[in-house]
Amino acid sequence: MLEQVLQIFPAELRKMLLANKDKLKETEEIRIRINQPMLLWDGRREYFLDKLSGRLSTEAEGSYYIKESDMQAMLTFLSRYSIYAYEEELKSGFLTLEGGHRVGVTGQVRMEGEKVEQLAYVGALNIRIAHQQIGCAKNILPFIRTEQSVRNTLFVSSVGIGKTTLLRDCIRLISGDETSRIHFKVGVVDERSEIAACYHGIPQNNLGMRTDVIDRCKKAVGMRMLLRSMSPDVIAVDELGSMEDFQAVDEVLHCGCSILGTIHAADMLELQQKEQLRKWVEQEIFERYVILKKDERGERHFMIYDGAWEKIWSD
Amino acid sequence: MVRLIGVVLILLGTVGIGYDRMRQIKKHYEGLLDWRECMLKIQGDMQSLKKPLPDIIAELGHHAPEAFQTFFMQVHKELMQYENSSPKSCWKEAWKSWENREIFTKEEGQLFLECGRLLEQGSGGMFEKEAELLIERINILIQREQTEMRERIKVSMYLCATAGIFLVLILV
Repeated sequence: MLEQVLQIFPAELRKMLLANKDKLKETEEIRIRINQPMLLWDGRREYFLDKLSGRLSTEAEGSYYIKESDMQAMLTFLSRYSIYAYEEELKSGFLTLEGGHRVGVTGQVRMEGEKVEQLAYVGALNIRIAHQQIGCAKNILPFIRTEQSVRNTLFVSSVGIGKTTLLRDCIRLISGDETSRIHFKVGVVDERSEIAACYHGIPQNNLGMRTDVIDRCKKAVGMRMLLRSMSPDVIAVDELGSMEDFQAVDEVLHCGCSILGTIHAADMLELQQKEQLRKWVEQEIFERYVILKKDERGERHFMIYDGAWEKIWSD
Repeated sequence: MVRLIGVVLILLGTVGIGYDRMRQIKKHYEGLLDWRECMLKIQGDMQSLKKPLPDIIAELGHHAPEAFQTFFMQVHKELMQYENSSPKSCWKEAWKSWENREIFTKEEGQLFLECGRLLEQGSGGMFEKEAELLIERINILIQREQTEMRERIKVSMYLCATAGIFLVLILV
C-alpha cells in the first residue's frame, strides 16, 4: 500500500523513508515544502527525517530539508512523467495516487479571471495516506438502515474528525458484499475524490459491490446524473454546503431515493444555524443526525439524533 | 555436368546475396516508417489524449511494430523504476541495451536517441514545435531513403549478378 506513496519520492529520500517503514504505516500525512524540513504526522505528533541517520525523530534539528530538485523529481514521479496529463487535477489543487492516497498541491498560480489557469510553480505538497477504516460504522448501521430502506442521514463534525471515513464505511456496509442479506444500490457523487478515491475512474477504496461512483463531478450535477442513469436506492455525497447542493438533494428525495450526506458543523447548535437546513429540519426530512467528536486522547465518539433532534444513542 | 551445376550454384548464390541485400534495404526502409509511426503515436497520445507517458510507452511495448516492441518495453521498465526523473535518460538506457538498434545507420541512430527529448515535459508550444521538428527530420530521412532505395536495390542486384557472371567466367 505504501509503495505507491514511496515511489513519488526521489531515490535518496525513498531509501531513507523505507528504513522507517514501520513508522510510516502509522503516518497520516507527509508535508513537503521547499527549503523546509519534511514533516510526518501520525495523528498525535510530528516527526522529522534525520539527515545523517535517516531515522525519524521528533527533533527538528539536523533534519532533512527539501531541495528544489527534490520537489521537481517528486512532481515528475507524481505525474508519472506527464504533467501535461494532470493539468486539470493540479488546477483543482490535488491529485489522487493509486491506492487512494491524495496529494494536495500549492504554489504560485496563474489566474485568468476567476479561474485558475495554471499552477506555475509548486512549492508544497501534502501527502495524505489513505487508511480506510473497515468496520468503523458497524455500530451505527442499525440506526440508519432498516430491512426495507435506508434512512436519510447527515454525518456532522468539524474538519478532520472522520465524517468522510464514517460515510465511506456506511456506503460499504449498505452496498454489501456477496454474503450480506440486506443490501441496497448506492450511488456516490465524489466531487473531491475523497470517498472512493478513484484512480483512472476506478474506486481505490472498498465501497461494496453495489456502488456506482461519479468522480470529480459537481454534487448537484452528479446527483441528477445518477438518478437518471443508475436508479440508485441511496445517494451518498460529501460536504453538502451550497444552495445548489440542497436543491439537488430535494430532487433526490422527491424521486424516492435516500440520502447519506456529510455536513460541516461542530455540534447540533452550529447545525441549527445553517439557513439551508431549516426547511428540512422543520419537515424532519433527515431522520438521523450522526455527530462525531474526538476526545483529548484522539478517540472518536458518536452521538445519534433522530429527525426531531432527540438523542437516541451515544457511545 | 559438374561444371554446369557449379555455374548454376554460383549464379544462384550471387543472386541470393543480391536478394538478401534487397530485403535488408526494404527492412531498413520499413524500420524508418515504423519509427515514424511510433513517434506520431507518442506525440498524439501526449498532446491530444493527454495520456500519461508510462501508459503510452506500455501500449507501444505491446502494439508497436515488432522490431520496436522490446525497446519500448525496456523504456517502460526504466520509467517504472522511478529512479531517474528524466524520461530522456530512460530512453537512452533502453537504447544501450536494445539489440535491434542495427536497423539504423549511425546518423539515424543519433536522431533516434534524440527522440528521447520527445518524452520530456516541455511547456506548451515549445514541446509541440520540438516534436514536430523531430518528426520532420524522420520524414526527411524517409523521403531520402525512398528516392535512394530503388537505385540501391538496382545497383546491388546488378553488382551481385555481374559478380556471379565474372566468377563463372573465371572458374570456367
